[in-house]
Amino acid sequence: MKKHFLLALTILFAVPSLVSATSAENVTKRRPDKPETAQIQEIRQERRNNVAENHANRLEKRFAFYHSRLSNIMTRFQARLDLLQKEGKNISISQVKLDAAKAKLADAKVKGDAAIAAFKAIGPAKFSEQKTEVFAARDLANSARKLFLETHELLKLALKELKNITRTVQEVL
Amino acid sequence: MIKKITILIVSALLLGGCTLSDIFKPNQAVSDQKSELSATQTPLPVSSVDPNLEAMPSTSTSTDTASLEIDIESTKILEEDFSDLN
Repeated sequence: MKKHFLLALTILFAVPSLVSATSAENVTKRRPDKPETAQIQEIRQERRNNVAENHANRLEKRFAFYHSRLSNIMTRFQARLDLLQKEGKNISISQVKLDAAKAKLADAKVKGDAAIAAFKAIGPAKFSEQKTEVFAARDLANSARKLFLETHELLKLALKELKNITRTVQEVL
Repeated sequence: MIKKITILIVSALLLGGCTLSDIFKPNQAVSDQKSELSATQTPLPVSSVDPNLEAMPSTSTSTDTASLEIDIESTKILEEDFSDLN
C-alpha cells in the first residue's frame, strides 16, 4: 500500500515537471528565431524603401503634370502675344514676364527630375543610414515645387499685362 | 490514512495544475511577433491616379485671354507632405 502511494505521488509530481521541461524546450527552440527577426527587419526596410519609392512616383506624376500643363498654357500665351504683336501692339512687358516664366519652368523641370532621381536612388542600404540622402531628395523636391509656384506666379503677372494690352485696345476702339 | 492520501493528491494536483496552466497559456512572444509581422506586411497604398491632379480641369486649346485666364487660375501647385521621412 505504501509502495503504491509513493509511486502515485512520484507520478503526480513528476508529470507536471516533465511537461514543464518540454515547454521550456519549446521556448528555447522558439527563441533563437533569428530568421524571423531578420524577416521583420527586412519587411521594415522594404517598407522604408517603399516610402522613398512612393515619394518618387508621386513627384514624378505631379511634376510631369505641372510641366505639361504650364507648357501648354505658355505655348498658347505666346501665340496670343504673337498675334497682338502682328497687330502692332506693344507686348514687351508681358513678353518679359512670359520669358521669365519659361526660364523658371525649365529650372523647375531640372530640379524636379533631380529630386525624383534622388528619391529613386534610395533603397539598397539601410534607410536610417541614408538620412542625408533622404533629406537632400526632400529639399530638392521642395525647391522644384517652389520653382513651379514661381512659374505660376510669373504667368499670372504676364496675364495681368496681357489683359492691360487687351484693355488698351478696347479703350482705343 | 485515506484522508492523508486525499490531501496529498489535492496538493499535488494543485501544484501540477499551476504548471499545466503555463503550458496551455498562449505564447505571448509568438503572438506579438505575429502581429508585428502582419502590421509591417500591410502594403502601402500606392494610388496610380492622383485625385488632386484629376480635380484640375483640363486646359483649353484656345488662345484667347479668357481661356488663358481660366487655365492659369485653375492651375494649382499642390502641397507636398514629407513628414513620413522624419
